[in-house]
Amino acid sequence: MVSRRDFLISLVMQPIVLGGILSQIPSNIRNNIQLDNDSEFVIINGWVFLKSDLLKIES
Amino acid sequence: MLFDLNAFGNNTSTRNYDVCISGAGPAGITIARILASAGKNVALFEGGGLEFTEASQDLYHGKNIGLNNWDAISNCRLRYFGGTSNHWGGRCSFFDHVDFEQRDYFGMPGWPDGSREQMFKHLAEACTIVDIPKNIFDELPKSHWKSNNFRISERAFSPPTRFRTKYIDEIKHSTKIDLYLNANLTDVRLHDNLSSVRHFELKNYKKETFLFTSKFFVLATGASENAKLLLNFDKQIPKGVGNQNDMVGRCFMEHFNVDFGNFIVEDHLMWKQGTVQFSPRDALIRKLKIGNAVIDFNPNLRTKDYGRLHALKQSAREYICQTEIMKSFARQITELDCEGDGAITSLIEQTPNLDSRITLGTERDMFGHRRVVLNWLPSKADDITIRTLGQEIAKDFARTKLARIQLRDFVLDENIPIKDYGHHCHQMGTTRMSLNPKQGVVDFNQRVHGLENFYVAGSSVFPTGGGCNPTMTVLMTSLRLAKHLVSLKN
Repeated sequence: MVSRRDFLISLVMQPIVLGGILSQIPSNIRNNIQLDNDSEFVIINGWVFLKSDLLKIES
Repeated sequence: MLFDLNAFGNNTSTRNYDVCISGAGPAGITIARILASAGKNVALFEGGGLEFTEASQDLYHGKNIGLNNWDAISNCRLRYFGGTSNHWGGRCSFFDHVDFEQRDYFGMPGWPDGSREQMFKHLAEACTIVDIPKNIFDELPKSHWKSNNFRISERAFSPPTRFRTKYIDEIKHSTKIDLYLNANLTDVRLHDNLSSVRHFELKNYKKETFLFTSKFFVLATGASENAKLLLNFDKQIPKGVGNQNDMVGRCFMEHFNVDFGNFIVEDHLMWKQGTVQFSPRDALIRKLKIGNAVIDFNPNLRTKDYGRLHALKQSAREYICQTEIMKSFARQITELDCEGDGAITSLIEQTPNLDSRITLGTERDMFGHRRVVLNWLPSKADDITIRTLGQEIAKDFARTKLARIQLRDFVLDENIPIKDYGHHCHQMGTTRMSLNPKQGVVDFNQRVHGLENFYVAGSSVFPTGGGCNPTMTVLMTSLRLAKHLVSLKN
């Protein structure tokens, strides 16, 4: 049984985590991104992102 | 019955049994108990005593010329009654279907066809031996998380069972098992036609020699010592017993423990239970042509956060903690977001590699045996497995929004060497099982190729190591061997 508190935390954590990771990455590295072969992913400073995640954050 | 070979003195008459077993660790004890329950008279030889001694442990010492500065031979093993179960961690799991398939990209044959069916007949009995419920593996871990590529690994924890304390009284009072302590196997003497074993030669620590004979003989002294002994038994066969094709000691395998990087949790529900282990699904292993693995994700309870989140939390703490009433609330907030980052460790299958091997050096132990030289080597295939697993699980977690993984540079860039492979003290594969004598040392029934009555037990017979802790497989193969011996008439 999922508690209401846990459910709310899950909803809130995802954007906070992504934003937190991005903000700690220096801009010069952040600009130097690696595209994964299948281009579904972007790798920044070793962190593996979905491209669609980044588009959400940047917007 | 219990005997101390150190106290045998001049009693040098040859003793006769149905089966002689050298090595009283989990494999040897298990085989002895099954044979005894079937009415067989068994001699069980333990090189050490009931407690740890430096004199016994010293016989493991060797030289490492391969990966890492790692004294694996003497530090990972324990040479007294109960063997390495005396410091076993207790984690139990077993091979997946894919582990029994022939994977051509491994370059060497795997388990012979039918191994899985034969082995898993004994799963329930193995569970009883290590004191875990028989049906513990029937119920898979439940989770709302779904992925086509990875799954949560099944595992169970033994108390852990110490074979020494669990079985010493049973063996002491057994009328069918004679346990000889301080009994070091120093030679196997073959019949003149070199097709079968006639005697086990044992020595105590006074170097007094004793001969034992039986219908069947079993070597169960661990993966490194099994190879060491066979290579040292060179009086009648110069290359060593069972080594006619130069396979004894080859394909030494460990499980790599590679630190892939760190991670930040996203799916709060998933990580509430703490450490979670994931394994690649069989289909992914086949598709990517990699080895099996278990990857441990250990959420760190230290609060660690980044950037905006850190600034936000810090401001909140400073403000809230100024009042006593709000302190408890602040602590709750800290608890809620303390997932922080976590560590990633792993247990990764090593491909069988002919160059990863045990040979003998020039230094000799107290019985005149040449000591072990271990050259533990990963292959290119292992590097591919490590990098592929790291990348795939990071993508999978991003895709399923389970966690965000920061991979170390060597995982992403094949030009950066993997510096620390790590290990698990899971030594396997020095007398590997193979239907073809040119690619292994023992046959499907763990009988040494070319010898009618000589068998090897334990992880040294594994042709591949899977992505799991080896104890359950050691027990299941030992149970199978014991029942095979019971079924033989002579």
